[in-house]
Amino acid sequence: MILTELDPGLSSGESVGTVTVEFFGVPRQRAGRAELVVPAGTILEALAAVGESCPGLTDLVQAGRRLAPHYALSLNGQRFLRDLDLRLAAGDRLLLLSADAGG
Amino acid sequence: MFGYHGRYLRIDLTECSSSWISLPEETLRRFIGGVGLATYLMHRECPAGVDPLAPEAPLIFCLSPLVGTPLTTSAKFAVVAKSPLTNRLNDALSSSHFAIAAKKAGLDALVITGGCSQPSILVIQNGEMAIHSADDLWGLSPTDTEARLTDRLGSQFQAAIIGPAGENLVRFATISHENRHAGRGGLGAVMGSKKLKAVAVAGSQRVEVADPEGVVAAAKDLSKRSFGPATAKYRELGTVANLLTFNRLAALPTRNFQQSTFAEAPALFGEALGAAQKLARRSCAACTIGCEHIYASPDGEVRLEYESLFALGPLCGISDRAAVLQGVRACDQWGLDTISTGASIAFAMECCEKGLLAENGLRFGNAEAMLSLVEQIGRREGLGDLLAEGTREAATVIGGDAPNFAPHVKGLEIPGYEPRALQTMALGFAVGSRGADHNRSGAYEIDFSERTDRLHGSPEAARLAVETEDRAALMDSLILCKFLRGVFTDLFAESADLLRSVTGWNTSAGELRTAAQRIVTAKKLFNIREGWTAAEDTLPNRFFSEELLNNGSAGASLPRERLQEMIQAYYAARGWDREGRVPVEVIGELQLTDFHPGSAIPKIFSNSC
Repeated sequence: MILTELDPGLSSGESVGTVTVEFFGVPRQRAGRAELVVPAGTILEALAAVGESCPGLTDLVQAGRRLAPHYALSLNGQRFLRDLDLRLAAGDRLLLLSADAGG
Repeated sequence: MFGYHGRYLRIDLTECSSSWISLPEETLRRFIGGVGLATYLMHRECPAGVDPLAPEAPLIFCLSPLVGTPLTTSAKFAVVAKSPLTNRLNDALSSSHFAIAAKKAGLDALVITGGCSQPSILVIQNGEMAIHSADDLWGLSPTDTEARLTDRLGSQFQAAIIGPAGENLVRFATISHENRHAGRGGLGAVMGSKKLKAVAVAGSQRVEVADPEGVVAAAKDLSKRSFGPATAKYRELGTVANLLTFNRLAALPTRNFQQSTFAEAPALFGEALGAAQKLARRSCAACTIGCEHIYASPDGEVRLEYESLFALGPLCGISDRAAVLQGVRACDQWGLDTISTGASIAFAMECCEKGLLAENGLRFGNAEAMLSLVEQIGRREGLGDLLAEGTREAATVIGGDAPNFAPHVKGLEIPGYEPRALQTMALGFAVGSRGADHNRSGAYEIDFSERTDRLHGSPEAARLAVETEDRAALMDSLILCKFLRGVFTDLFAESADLLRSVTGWNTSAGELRTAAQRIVTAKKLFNIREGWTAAEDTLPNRFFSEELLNNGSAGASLPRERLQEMIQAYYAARGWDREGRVPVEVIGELQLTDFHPGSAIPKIFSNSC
């Protein structure tokens, strides 16, 4: 299930059992939106939910459960990671970026 | 010889004379071309201790074996000199038809020494030189000059040009071609000191490649890959997309590095807002990426990159998009490096807010003051005359606390990567041979990865940064655009294949790794010759004494001891001693023992005007 509409009483990413995926650069362009709320789970599950909701982002995961090399992920804007089996906590914010983040 | 002419042209403007100097294949194989070959030539041609703005100081344009081939992004040239901003080796790259025309003119490199007594144009056609008057061009913008030169000389000529800032010896003036700039370190001032408004080249001399079919096949393959996802950001959005990303990561230098987020960033240039003002997308010659995104400004169209946007926007606390676009366009017209210009203005704004300067109305966020200062710098008028010296010198004159927050390393202003939030990049800035530099070290790639904690730099990350520097040295010498870097699975092995097709050499990945290390070390040896000490490999005090307070990087600090530990790991990984000096055995291993002044260079042919 993808939670694209939030309970008005809850702010983005703070609802029980959800995480917010924020899009930057090419992923934002492909998604056509700045963020998406999905159920908390592993990163792999979160990315699958993104692909389901955003047809432009179905190429996030490659064979072998690996993040496609042209994307990068940051957890809460701090740690960068590529371990797709990592379990996200409710309220986490997962940033999906272009891998070539520099100039 | 394939891929090269095997010679360079040395021109003495004072004597109005020229001579051809041979470039042995062995030398070309060691230094490849571009930045590598130009660094070799600087060791040969630049007198030790020379004033960068003295006639004796050489200005070198250097091509590469790939120029003129159909390989995508290969139409590039390097410009190298001793920087009037840093007094150290400075290399800058630019692109497009000038590179192709210069190679057709018969050059692997052009070394210009001496100076003209009057504003002049150096014209080279098929290796023959002439000097024309530039009295009617002096004071014109690069774009106006380029148009006049095309009318005067014909469209077969391509020109590298300085703007009024170069004429006025602003120490961060650029050299421009087709509105692209060899931007950093003040090479335009070196050209201006020679009263050289433009270098125009044309010719019809072709260079053969060893395996024409192999080169065509490689070019097709590389072009195909260049249309893929690895270059999508550059193609579809341009580097301006970095603004919101860096802001979210609290790595966006703001108000002269006092903060690392800018609340107005989305208003300044959110993707939707940016798209509304986008006019066109363009490419350099022989490029299939097409990274140049052209926007509408109140004064006309302007090419916008992240570095220009950050420097004249958040760094100056300015959220007025139209003003930022005007400022970038003004820098292009004056021939000014946008990073150093924005950083100088931001520095002056902080000086005013702290009472160190008494300039009316110069405060963060004042777009009108920013635009006025761009012009003052270009003209060298008022406060602009002081800022035209660069922030290091300006801080010394202003005094007080100013040197602690003057945003430079070795005199070169810091680009748009907050060092406390990207601590591997902090190391890259500190040890960079041309100063604070995001193009010669890709250390930020380590920060933007799972391989390090970007808020706590480490010796392990420092060792990884060495690899990014070597990759940059190779790409800058081949020369290929760094926006291609993501399409290579193994840059060294694939580059060896490309070079083998062009030159016929049996080049290996290992040989190119060694060449890259040689080039980085050759730059270092040049700087040591010019007085470098380990004390230069550092950052302004601000970065050690002030914590970041913004969200994503809250509490991030960079203790001096941590940076020192990283620097020592970097030196060790390069095989240098604890003082950053290059041991004799490393010089030997890298085949750099011929770098001593006065060794004989065979001339092939000399003549005079």
